[in-house]
Amino acid sequence: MRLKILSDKAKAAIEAEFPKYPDKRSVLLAALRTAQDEVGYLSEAAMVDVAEILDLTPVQVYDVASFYTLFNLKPVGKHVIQVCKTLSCALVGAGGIIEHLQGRLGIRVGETTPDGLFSLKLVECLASCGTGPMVQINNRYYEQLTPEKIDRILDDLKREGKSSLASGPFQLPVLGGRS
Amino acid sequence: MQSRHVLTDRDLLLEQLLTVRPIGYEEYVRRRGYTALPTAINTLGPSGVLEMIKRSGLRGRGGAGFPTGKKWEMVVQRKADRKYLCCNAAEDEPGTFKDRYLLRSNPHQLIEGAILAAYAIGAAEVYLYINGRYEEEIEFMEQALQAAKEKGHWGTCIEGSSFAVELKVCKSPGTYVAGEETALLEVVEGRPAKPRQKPPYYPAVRGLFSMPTVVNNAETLSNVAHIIREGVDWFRARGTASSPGTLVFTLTGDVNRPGLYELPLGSSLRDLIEVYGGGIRGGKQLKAVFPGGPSNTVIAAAQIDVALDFDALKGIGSGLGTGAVIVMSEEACMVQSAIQYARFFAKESCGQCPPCKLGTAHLSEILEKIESGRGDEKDLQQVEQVCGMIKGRGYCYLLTGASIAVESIFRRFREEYVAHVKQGACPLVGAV
Repeated sequence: MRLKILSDKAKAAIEAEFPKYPDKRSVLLAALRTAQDEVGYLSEAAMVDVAEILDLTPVQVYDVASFYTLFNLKPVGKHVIQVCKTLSCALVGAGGIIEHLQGRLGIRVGETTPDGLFSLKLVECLASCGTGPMVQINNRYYEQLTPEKIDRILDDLKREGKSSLASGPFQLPVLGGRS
Repeated sequence: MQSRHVLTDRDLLLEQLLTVRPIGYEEYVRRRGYTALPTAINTLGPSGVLEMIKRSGLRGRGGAGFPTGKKWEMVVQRKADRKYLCCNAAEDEPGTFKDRYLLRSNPHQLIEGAILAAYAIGAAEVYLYINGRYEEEIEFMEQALQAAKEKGHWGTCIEGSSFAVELKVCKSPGTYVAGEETALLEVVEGRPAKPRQKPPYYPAVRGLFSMPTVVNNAETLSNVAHIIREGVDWFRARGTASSPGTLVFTLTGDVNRPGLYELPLGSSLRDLIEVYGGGIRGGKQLKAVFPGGPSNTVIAAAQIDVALDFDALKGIGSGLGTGAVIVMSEEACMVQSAIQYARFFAKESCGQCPPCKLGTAHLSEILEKIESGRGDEKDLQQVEQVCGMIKGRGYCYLLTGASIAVESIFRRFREEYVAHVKQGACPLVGAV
């Protein structure tokens, strides 16, 4: 059967995971990630394609896709901003960051800007507790945020689609001991 | 005191480091990395490795503090066609971010530890289950795996022997419950992260793909190669008799220097906060500390001379958990803190057990009502009632953790809750 929406490249990427596991079903989460990366969200057609590739029923795929907040079953903005609001971040000002983002973007949490550029979500712990407040935008972390930093990040993303304020690898809060 | 760090894999003074240089393959080998593996295969044998880990007293760093050797032994004793090892680096517990840095700074000590563990328990396949949000860390781990494979440390004919093992990365979906031992197995099998009912079957009996399985935390496995290479006495030289070794603490909240601190187990909580963390932010007074993440009880400022080890914290009714120490100053509202936790658990509940799905949501509602100033005496009673009703229920520990945390905050800071009701507003932030 021909696939509805996924490319041959996505299909090959999914099939490349098969040798890792004794059965095809185990590849489901990886397959959904691949599909979401390609389509932008998990449309019905994308889920049917995944079911086809993995010899599952569409319902089995939907059951898993709808369980995880990681998967978007509806279209989202080009840049999905996920703000951590768990205790460690809340203690150092996540609330103010959320307010500021809502004000700047003119949307509430859970919404997408009319131009389709930004979606705003609240999430639980992203394991950056030592460098809060922080957000994840698509696959990058932005840490030790201030309202000014947020403004610069949003401007960068609008203008260039990326921002140099993203945390680089191997930046540490404080590692070690006595100073 | 000098301390060999799993964070950096070398002896160093406990000094503040602001950057970490990732330890690549050559550097790891220069530090005598990958020498434990030939010793294990050529001299110790699987039973010798198991014996050393048992004698070392290494306890699981994932929260429960279960003896690692004992966990391995339960799988060794099972007869099965296949056995599995899963390394748990899902890391979604609020306040915890140590695995992220262990993966970044020294992937090879984890790889060598995982190979040794697989060798000891007779597993031919290892799943490195890593938080899927850690894209850079996963990439780095994949490169390290490739380098180690090219040098013949894993694959077939390891160190010229008949021992073969495959290591594979599996991304976790980045939700809290997906780090629970049996929910993890469900995720690797491609299902929703719903913890399994246990008893009757624990992972050691029926784990991944129904086969005996060991699930070890990334920090636990990061200690293994050092123990095999340096010896049991070396490992036991730090920490306490019942909690040997060091632990990577993650210190967050209202402190001047939040961050990662690897300290010998048994170090005092006061030292961690005052000496390493630089004291409370803004010169404020300390109010409360969660010494072991959100599934253990809160402790008051007067108790911070407690030793940070599994048993000392248990002795005062709390627990070490994953070593996630969250500090709250006098300015923190303890109703807000409880709401943070209750909401967290309500959101992260997998929803399969009704007491959890309903209980955590109900708790959030009552607490939010109290915080907003609309609460009354009945709501205060309900907090404890609901906590009592849900404790110990459900397939996993999530619900019990939630009730323990919220109940302890409520009991210890009851007067703050009463003040919210009496004043009709939060005394710290006003009416919401």
